Amino acid sequence: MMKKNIIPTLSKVLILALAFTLIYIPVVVILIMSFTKSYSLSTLGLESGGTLKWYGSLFGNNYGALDIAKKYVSNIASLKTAIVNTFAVTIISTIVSTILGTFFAIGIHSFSKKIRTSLMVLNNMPVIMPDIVTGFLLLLIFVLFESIFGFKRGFNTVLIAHIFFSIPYVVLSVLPRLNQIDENTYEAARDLGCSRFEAVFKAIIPSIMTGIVAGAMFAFTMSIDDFVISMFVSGQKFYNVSTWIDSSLRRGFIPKSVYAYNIIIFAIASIVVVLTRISSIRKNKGALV
Amino acid sequence: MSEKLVVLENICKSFGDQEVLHDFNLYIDRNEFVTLLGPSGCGKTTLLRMIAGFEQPTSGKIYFDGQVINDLEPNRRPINTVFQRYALFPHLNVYDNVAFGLKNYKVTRDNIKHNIVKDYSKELEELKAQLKDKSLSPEVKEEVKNNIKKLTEEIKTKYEEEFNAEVERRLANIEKEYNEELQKGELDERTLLKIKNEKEKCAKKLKLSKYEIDKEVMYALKLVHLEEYKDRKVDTLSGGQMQRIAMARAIVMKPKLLLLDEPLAALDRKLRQDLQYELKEMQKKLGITFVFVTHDQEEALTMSDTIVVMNEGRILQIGTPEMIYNEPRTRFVANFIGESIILDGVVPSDNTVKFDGATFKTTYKGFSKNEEVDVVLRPEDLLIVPQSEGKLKGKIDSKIFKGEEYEINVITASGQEYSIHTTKDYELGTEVGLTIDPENITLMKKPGVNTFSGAINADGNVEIAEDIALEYGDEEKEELEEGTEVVVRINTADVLLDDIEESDFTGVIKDIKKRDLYYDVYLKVGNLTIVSSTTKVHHVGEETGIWIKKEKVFVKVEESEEEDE
Repeated sequence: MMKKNIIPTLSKVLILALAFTLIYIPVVVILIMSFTKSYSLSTLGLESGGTLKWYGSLFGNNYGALDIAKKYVSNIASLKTAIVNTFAVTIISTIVSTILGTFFAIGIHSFSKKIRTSLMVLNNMPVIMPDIVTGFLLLLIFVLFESIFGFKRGFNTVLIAHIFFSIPYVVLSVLPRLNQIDENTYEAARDLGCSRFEAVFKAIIPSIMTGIVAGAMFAFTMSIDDFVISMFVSGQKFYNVSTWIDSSLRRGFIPKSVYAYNIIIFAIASIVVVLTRISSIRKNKGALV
Repeated sequence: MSEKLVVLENICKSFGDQEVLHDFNLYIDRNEFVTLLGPSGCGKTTLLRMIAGFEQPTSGKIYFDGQVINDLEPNRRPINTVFQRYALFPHLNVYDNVAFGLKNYKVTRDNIKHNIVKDYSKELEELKAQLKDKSLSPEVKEEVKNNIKKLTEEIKTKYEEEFNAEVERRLANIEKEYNEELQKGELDERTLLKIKNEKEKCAKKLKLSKYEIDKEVMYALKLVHLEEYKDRKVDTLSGGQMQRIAMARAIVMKPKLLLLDEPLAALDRKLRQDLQYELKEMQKKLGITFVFVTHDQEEALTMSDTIVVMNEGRILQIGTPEMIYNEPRTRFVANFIGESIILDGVVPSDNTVKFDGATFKTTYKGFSKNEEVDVVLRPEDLLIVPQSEGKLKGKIDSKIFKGEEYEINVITASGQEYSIHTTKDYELGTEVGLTIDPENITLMKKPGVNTFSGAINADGNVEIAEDIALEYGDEEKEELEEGTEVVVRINTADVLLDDIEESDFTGVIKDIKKRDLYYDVYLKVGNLTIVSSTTKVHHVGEETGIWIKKEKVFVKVEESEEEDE
């Protein structure tokens, strides 16, 4: 009984409130600023009145601080292009790395335990490596490619880099699921008339689907918020949102459309989290009935 | 059609350096319930996996229905497997798990194709081999190419023919079913027509329509008493239910042979017993051949028509459960099947055995005089009687209550312990006697020593059979008179097998048994059987020379029987 009262309820509530305030205050501030008319980044701008223009301008040609430079350099990207680039890279790299990662995991799983362990060390290497090392190494490789094959840095190199660093995460989330399913699943499918490929597609892959989905979500988040590696490998003319914000900031000014973008991403993420939570609660209830 | 459904011929299997199965031969009859019984690691599961097609034998042939199936893919074999941990598909519900195999409609089509290609494969390969021959002139080459083309065409037309024939057969069947249903009048004509059309559409692709699948699935589920669970997710089922679904999933494919890999091992005792009974009933009802793998001797004894006891990749004994239990052929089998007491005994004459200071009647004939044997006794065959009536006399040393019976330990004067199962309770320390019915005593030839009865001949050698005389003993042996009856003992390790020219006499190899580190080779020499322990590999049927060093031949003057009684 004494133990329970060491931290009184009131202080518990206070500490929690403080923690959540610290976590969510930037979101709230940005949320408010994304709806105010003022251009200023240093005030909330409540007196200037509300607007939806920042959200609207996300889809227009908004060059931010690059507006001036635009006059001299012809192919500088707009925020819209950067967003399109980000999603193109993220979606393609998620799909490719999920597929490859799943097959890698199935392959690794089929080896003996000894070989599996050493393969997992190799797999985990890029996960442990700091982004700055990965980015720099990839840059070196791409520079080499450029000098040998004339392979220009841009969309392609960013995409390859994103696929490269996403695969280990997919493997990491698929493999435990593979260990969970019955070791005879593949053979059971073969036994019931499946060819080798059908057995993989009809029995193995559906059984490990939760792992694959988790891996894809991992790959998606890793790719969408990557800055360091993208900065190294994107070359001079290719921007995704993070490198675009970086270069705008360095030139002195970013439009508040960036805030709008952040709020939209935050909202989507929250919705996904809430939906998953609800569906898992429902599932558990279903099992009890 | 021959009676034999599966024939395993000289199967060897190694994983790396480790040999799992040694020259394994076995055949399985139709509608038989065969159990492969052995401790873990004896090769029984590997054997099952080879029949199913998940492993390839290193050498040897597997016949199914008279055809070699070594290279046949598991999905083409009319064999289904029930796995130890069920291996149900977690993403499908009960119904879809059972329907899984039926939806792989391609099987029949593949089978038709496979059967035709198989008929032509030899011819095709020969032609293709000819093409590789560089010395051929261009004209001949052209001709060979044409032949290949012709053959390919032929295969194609034949495939189409057979495909259409199968379609026709199915369509006729559907028509028949439709008319029957119409007669019954349970459903109205329009619904029936709809069903018929759907079935016909699928039959043209050799697919099963959902109606046909439904019928089969529901029949299989009914067989395992789980119809009302069809919409449940498999992970909400209990172990026993999952096992039943796994059974249904295999049975629904109507296999000719069902393989069961320790399917009951993960279940609790009560459930296991229920399912044992159900399995046996199901096997009788369906008329499918079952091959059942287990390490549980009780399970094997309850369910099987035939038990194959295995150890270290070899068959130790094949027989009905009664045979295996009542007449184990080796120490290992006796120990593995049921509890047993194994004692050293001597056979003074036919139908008797002497052990622990008492002589018992037996049903065994044919051991040599005074041969040393292993005596196998079962705890439930030993009877406790008043001390005056018992042949063995001892004291009750301990007892354990086991529910249905007591397990009582009796120690005799010589210090030998006997474990006895009885329903009667006895006080600790009671002096009791023990008797055993003659038919309950099992005798086994002892490994390791050859024992013969013989007589000294005119040359001062010992004659163990007509024509076979051996020199015996070392320099200090006592000279025996001619005609003295003796017992001759030769350790199996001292019987050396050699070239026929070099040897004393020759024998034909009748049987070879693997021991831990060597082989026991059973040789037939005239009427005698001589056992040789050797590390060299020999083959059954071989004739070989036999050579025994005279120092290794031990001779003992036979005690007369009168003395013994």
